[in-house]
Formats: sequence, structure tokens, C-alpha cells
Amino acid sequence: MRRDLEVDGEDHQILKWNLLTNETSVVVKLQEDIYPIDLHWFPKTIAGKKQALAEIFALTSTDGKFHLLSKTGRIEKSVEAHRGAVLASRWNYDGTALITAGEDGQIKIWSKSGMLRSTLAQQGCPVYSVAWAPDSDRILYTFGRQLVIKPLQPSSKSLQWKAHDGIILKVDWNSVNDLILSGGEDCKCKVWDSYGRPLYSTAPHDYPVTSVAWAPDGEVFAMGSFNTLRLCDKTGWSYALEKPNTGSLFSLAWSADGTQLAGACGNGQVIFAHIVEQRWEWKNFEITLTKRRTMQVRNVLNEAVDTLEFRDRVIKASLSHGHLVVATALQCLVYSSKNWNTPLIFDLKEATVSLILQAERHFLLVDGGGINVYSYEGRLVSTPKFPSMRTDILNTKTVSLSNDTIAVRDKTDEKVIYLFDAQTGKSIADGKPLIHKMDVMEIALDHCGPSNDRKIALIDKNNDLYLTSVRRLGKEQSMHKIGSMVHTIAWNDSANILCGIQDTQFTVWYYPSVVFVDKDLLPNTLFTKDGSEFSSTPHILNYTGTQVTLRRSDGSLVYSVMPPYATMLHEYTGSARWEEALCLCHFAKDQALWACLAGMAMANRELNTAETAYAAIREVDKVQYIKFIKDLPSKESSLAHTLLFSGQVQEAEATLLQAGLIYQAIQVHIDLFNWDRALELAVKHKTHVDTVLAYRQKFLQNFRKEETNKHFLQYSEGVEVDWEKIQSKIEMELAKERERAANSSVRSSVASHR
Amino acid sequence: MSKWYHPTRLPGSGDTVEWRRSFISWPAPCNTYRVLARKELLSCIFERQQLHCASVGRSNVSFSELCLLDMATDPLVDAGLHFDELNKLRVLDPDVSQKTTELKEECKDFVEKIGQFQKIVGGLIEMVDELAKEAEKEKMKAIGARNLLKSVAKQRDAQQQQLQALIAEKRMQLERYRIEYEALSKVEAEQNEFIDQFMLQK
Repeated sequence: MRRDLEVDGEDHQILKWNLLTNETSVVVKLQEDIYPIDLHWFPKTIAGKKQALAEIFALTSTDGKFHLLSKTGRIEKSVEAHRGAVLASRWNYDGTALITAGEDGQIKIWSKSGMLRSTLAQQGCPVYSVAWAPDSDRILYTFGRQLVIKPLQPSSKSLQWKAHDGIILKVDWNSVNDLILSGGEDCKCKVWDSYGRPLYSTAPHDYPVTSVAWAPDGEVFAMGSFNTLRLCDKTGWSYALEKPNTGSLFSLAWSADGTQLAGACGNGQVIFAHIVEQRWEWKNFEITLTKRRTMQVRNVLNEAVDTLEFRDRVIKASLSHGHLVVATALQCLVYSSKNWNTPLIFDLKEATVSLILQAERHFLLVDGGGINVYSYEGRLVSTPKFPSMRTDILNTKTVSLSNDTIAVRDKTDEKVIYLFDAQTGKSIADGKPLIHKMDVMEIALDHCGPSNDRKIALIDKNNDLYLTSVRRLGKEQSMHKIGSMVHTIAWNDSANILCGIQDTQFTVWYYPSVVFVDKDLLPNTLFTKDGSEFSSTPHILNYTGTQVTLRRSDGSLVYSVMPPYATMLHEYTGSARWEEALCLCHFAKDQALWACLAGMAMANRELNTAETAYAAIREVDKVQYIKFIKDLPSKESSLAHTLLFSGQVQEAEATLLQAGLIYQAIQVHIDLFNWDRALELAVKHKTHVDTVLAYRQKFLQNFRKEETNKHFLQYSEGVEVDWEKIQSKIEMELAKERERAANSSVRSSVASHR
Repeated sequence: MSKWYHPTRLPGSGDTVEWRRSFISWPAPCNTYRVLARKELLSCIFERQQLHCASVGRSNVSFSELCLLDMATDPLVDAGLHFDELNKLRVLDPDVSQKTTELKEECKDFVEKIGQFQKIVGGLIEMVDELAKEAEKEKMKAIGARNLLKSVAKQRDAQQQQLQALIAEKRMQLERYRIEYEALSKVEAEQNEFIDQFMLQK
């Protein structure tokens, strides 16, 4: 991890601060004729592998040169790059190229050793700032009042838009959230997405915005102006404003762990800022980071206050599932909410923890080295890996953790989601990742229930919400769309209830898995509420118990409380207490609840309950079908029809064929007007071909149509249709089935007697 | 002025006689011989004068009259030579010499007075200078103070602006808290309602 920060200045010096010890040392005193402007370190992620190349940085100066300097300050190479000053230089994320922009309006790409690769752009006004795209194949640069995104491939089209009313002075592009930040002389600071769509614009400040910088994790950004330093959320609202007496802040840089900020001031000073007053809430606990190394824990119930002291700076923390996990610069501490005195401590290999996710049984730490899952006892459980993994860009939207599963969205191909077993770290489903047809923006695993029923909800680029099963067991993956225009989602922590913001509606999917059982029920199981009180594009922070916490786009927290019935219903059905579930539904008198119960009962093949539930929501046809299923003689056919009920035709057919109930399978297809498959089965098993043909004829007669299907024409030639014969055959089949069912039930009862 | 010369009034020369001769062009210092010679010469002239008087009928001619006569006629006077009271031969008219001495005294006085004046004036100037300096200093101070005052106003403006920005920030935070509070109040109301309902139904 890089704990050093270097700052240059007009006095031809480069100074270095060690952020751990706050020591300052002069790295190099430059020659008198070099006036440094900009400085950028070689990226760390790649550098870790090749130590020899690691410690260099690029320095640009007013005389049109850039210099490559080693850590000790020795100038390795000086390259004549531009006419006039070189205003900015940036390494790309894998460290293979350096880009420089100059007063002469040119943008040039250089190899790592300082050889000119190409001149990417040439324009009539100076380029004040450049930034690389997260995938390092595009660059963003300023062009007067406009911003330009230019791909490195010469044939691709560049994107250009007017961004500010004044000259743009600084841009930054975050690799984690893919958002662009720009600040200009019109005293505004704006946030854009990577397609150039405006997301947020600050109110005009009193002075031009001279510097902007994203925090490495992309959650917050800092903005500097004359005597002004502001910390903002990525959605734009401001966390804090400082008015230090520093003059204009010309440049801002974050430390790699995102907790500290350094700024170069107009009066020659360097300002350091630390983020404090972060807050975490869970149930009755409220934790505040009061100082860099001190946390205060407040129990709201009894007003007990505990103070936690740490040896070094707190980098990340997470409070959930009864545990507080704190990552400091060197250690990881795990506190139980029952005991704040004795934490469990273990050392960290890589110091910069960028993400902590918690599940009930274990938690996950993401650092520069990889993804690590630890148990709350401090034992390393697993370390999932996949090719082309870049841990520095993982965030809560692209990683999800549950008790048994980890899901990670790939960065290089955003359609791909890798699934891992949390206990072993091995990939689920033989290493085949889950592939969606669109780019996936957000993923979330549910937390409850058996691991075989694990579901993953995902939002794709079109803001459609899909639900799919994680463990498919060889079956074809079935993505069910359960919502559209969804911006943000969260699973409940104690039941598989999903909540989200759908367009302007706040929506709760009481039982999203209903799509696997009875798709038609889904709209009935929803609980919707007008979301206008949450203003536009709120973000759901968590859904704990019955309470949903949302953050509005202006930064204020709002809460919404759901009725507790759905959670209770999940609890009852989870432990197969159907009577109580029915009682609850009777008591609550809520259609959505009945619909949920219907879905749950069908999923568990609890037909009696399902019948009542469907009756309650007035789905007469389904009640009738359930009655029909109940009347079915054999277990297999009732299973098949239950499957059929949830639209799983293939599974139903397979079940029937496995049980040797060929006629029933054929009949299923006939009932579905699935003529081809019915005929195919009949021909294949050499039975009931006439039955199929008879039903087909009847169907065609009813609709006054001619036979056009080739197969039917072919087979109808040699077969005589005799309804009486067919009827008797069917009777026979049914009798056979009944007989078998009786036998097997007798057998099983005998077995149970013994 | 040369020391050897003591301008004295010639005996009997009277006040009426004005001898205008610049004493700037003093003759070269005389030696005794010359003085003696001059005396000889004068006595000789006197004798001749006596004779002359006798010839014109005047019996008693004084020396001063003689000198007058001499002036009008005396070649000595013409030659710029005079005798003082001590009958010493002088180049300068003793009258003039006296006046010169007076003048010299006066001049001396004058110079002294001028000197004194100069001293006084010098002191005055010094004092005024000092005053000017003081005034200048005070003036600068005043200008500085005025500028400071102006900048203080500006500073206050800037400070006000900063404080206003901070206030706006706090206000925003307050608004956020207000919204949060409202949301929580609503939640509380909902919960209470739910409890009431629950109690009623039981």
C-alpha cells in the first residue's frame, strides 16, 4: 500500500509525507529551471507484481517536458513533450501508458519508458486536465467549456458535450462507479455518467472550482475552491464544508485508503484533511467515528456509551448482524454487539481494505490482494478467485454475500456474474458463471432459507429487475423479470423479502420467488407505496426487520416501516406451520399476504393451504386446478401437475415419463395444444397415436381449420379414429394408474407399519 | 584687514571732509623710511605753505587748514596719502578708516546676529522637519489605518460570506435532520396506529 504522498511546488522541491507517521521529508530538490506542475504516481495495482518498476512517478513542468523520477528522486528520464507547459499527466490503470496534455492543445500518449506512441488530439486551446476511463481504453479531457471522451482506437467516434459555462479546470473519472466529475470557472462542480448525461450540478460557488478528486472507493468526492474545501457524496449532496484560510486549492489527492485528503494551497501550504464523524446504525446501536482512532458506541435502549480506541487509523467499518467489523491500517477487529470490551483481533496482509460485507455467519473483506471471507471467530474461511479479478473496483453493488454464497460481477464483461461457495471459495455450477443478456448494474443475494433455494436479484442496464436461482442443479437457467424501472434494491435481513424503488413507486416484493411457482401471482404479492415522499432517485441503505432506511438524493435519511405480517408469514411457512400461516392471513386480511401464502403453499406442494389461499384471492380457475390435482390418483401425476401449475412443462413431462405414465404425458401436451410434442411422444412410445390424432381433429373441427402440419398429415393416413376405442383406452390407462397408486400406498403403509 | 594700518583722523581735518577712497586697494606696507620721507615731505610742504600764506596776507594758518588747503591742492592727498593723529603717514583717509572700523564692528555684530538668527532658524527648521516627519508618520499611519479599515470591511465581507456559506451548509444539514425527524415521527405514528389496531382486534 502506498502511504506516501508527494507534493511539488514553485520552490523546486518535492516533499513527501508519510501518512502513518506524519513525517515530512524532501525527496528531491530540482534544478532551478524546472517548475513542476503536475505529478502522478505509477499505478499501484500492477506495480505490486513488478517491484522493479514500481516506484516511479511522472512529473510535468512548465518548460514543456515531463520527467520520470524514481522514488528516491533521481530523474530517470526527461522527455520534450509539448510546446509551452505540460499541464497534466496521468498513468493508465494498468500502467502501460502515460498521457500528457499541454498548453499547446495537444494530447500525447507515451509508453512506460517515455517513447511517444501517438498524438491523440490537437486543438486550439490548452488542455487543462485529462483522465483515463476505468477500462483504460478511453480518455476524458477538457476542451474549453466542453468535455471530450475520446477512445484510443482512431476509428471510434468521440463524445463531446458542453459541460460548463466557463472554462473547465479539472476533471476526474472514478474507476469504481464510472462517474465523471468536472469543475470549472463557472464556479460549479458537476457529476456526469460515462455517457455524458448530467447527474448532478452544485449551486454556483463564490469562486471558480479549481480542483476536484474522487475518493478511491467512489463513494465521496472532494472539491476545492478559493478558501473552500467541500466533501460531497457521489450523488452530489454535501457532507461537509470547510473554509480554511489557504487561498485556492490547486490540486487535491486522496490517500489510497480513502480516509485522508491532501490539497495544494495557493499560499504554498499543504492542507491535510481526515474524514471523521462517520456513522453506522444497526438496530439499537449507533456508532460514530469521533476521532481518527476513536469510536463511540451508543446503545439507544439504555443510553450506555462505550468508547473504542484503536492503535491506528480506522479505514473501513461495518455494523450488521450483531457484529462490528473494523479495519484499521494494520489490523482487523471484530466486536460482538454483546461485548464491546474484548474484540477479536487479527492482522491484515494487505493494509488497504476497500470493502467490508457482512452476512450472518461470516464477513468478507476486499483488499488489494483479493477477496477474503472470515468467520466472526477470525478464521479465514475462503478466498474466492476468478481470472481478471480487479479488487480495487469492487463495491457493494458488484459484490454480494450471503451465508453460503458469494456473487461478484465481472468488470471486463459486465454481463457476467461469478458465483462462489462461501465455505470453500470454489465456484458454483462447475465454474460456469451466470451470464445475463445485458450489462448488470447491481446484484443482491437473498439471506435466508436453505442454500439450495438461494436467489440472486440483479438490475441490468435497462433498470429491469431479474430474479434467478443461484444453484441451478444442471437445469437451464431461468431469469425471471420481476420489475422494471428499478433503481435500487435491498433484501430483508430476516426473510426473503425484497424491496426496491420502481419508477416512483416504493415496492416490496413480499415473496419474489413466487415467479418460480406461479408467475401470475407476482403482481398480487407486491406492496406498493407512493415514493414521492422520498423525492427522486432515493437509495435504499438497508432493510432490517420491518424498517427500510433510504437516503434521499439530498442526503437526508428517511424511514419506512412495513407491516410485520410478511416476515411472520415467511417464518411460519419456512417451518411448515401452515395452520398458523392461515390464521395469520385470516387475521391480517391482506390480499397480498394471501397471494404470498398461495405461492408458498404451492412451492411446498401444500395443496390444502394453497386451495384456501387461492380461494381467498378469488383465483377460481386455480382453485379448480388444485382440486383436480388433489383428485389425481398417483403421486407422480399430482407432482407433474403441480409442476405444470408453475409452468414447468418439461419437468412435468419428465416426471411422468419417469413414472411410466406415458399417456398422461401425452395428454398434458394435448391439453396444452402442444400437438407436435404429443405426437412425437406417442410415436416414440408407439401408443395413443390415434388419441393424439383424434384430439387434433376435434380441435381443427372446432376452429374450422384444415390440417397443414406435415407430421399429422403423414400419420393420419394410416390411422383410423375411433372415439369409443380411444375413450376405453384412456379409461384403462387411468385405471392402471389408480391401481398402481393404491398398491404403492398400501406398500408404503405396510412399510410404515413394520 | 592689515594690522599695520590704524586709520586715525588727521588733526584738524574736520567732519566735513569726505575722503572717498576704497580701502580695498590698500597700498603695499610702508616702511619707516617711507613714513619718515612722508613726514619730511609734509613739513616741507607746511613750510612752503607758511610762505605762501604770508604772501597772501594771512598770518595764521592752522595745520588743518593747511590740510584743507592741502586737500584742495595738496599733492599728497592727490597721491592718496594721509596723516593720522599721531602724524603717521597713512594711505587711507582716517575718517574713512574709522567708518570702516565701525562698519566692521557693525558687520561683526551683523554677522553675529545673522549667526544667531541662523541658529534659531536652523533650530526652527529642524523642529519643523521633525514635525513634518511626525506628521508624515501620522499620515502614513492614518492611511494605513484607513486602508486597514477598508480591508477590514472587506475582510468582514469575506468572513460574512464564509460564515454564510457555513450557515447554508448547516441549514442544509438541519433540513436533512428535519426530514429524518419527520420520517421517524411518521414511523412512530404508524407503529402506534398498528399497535392500537392490534389491541382492538385481539
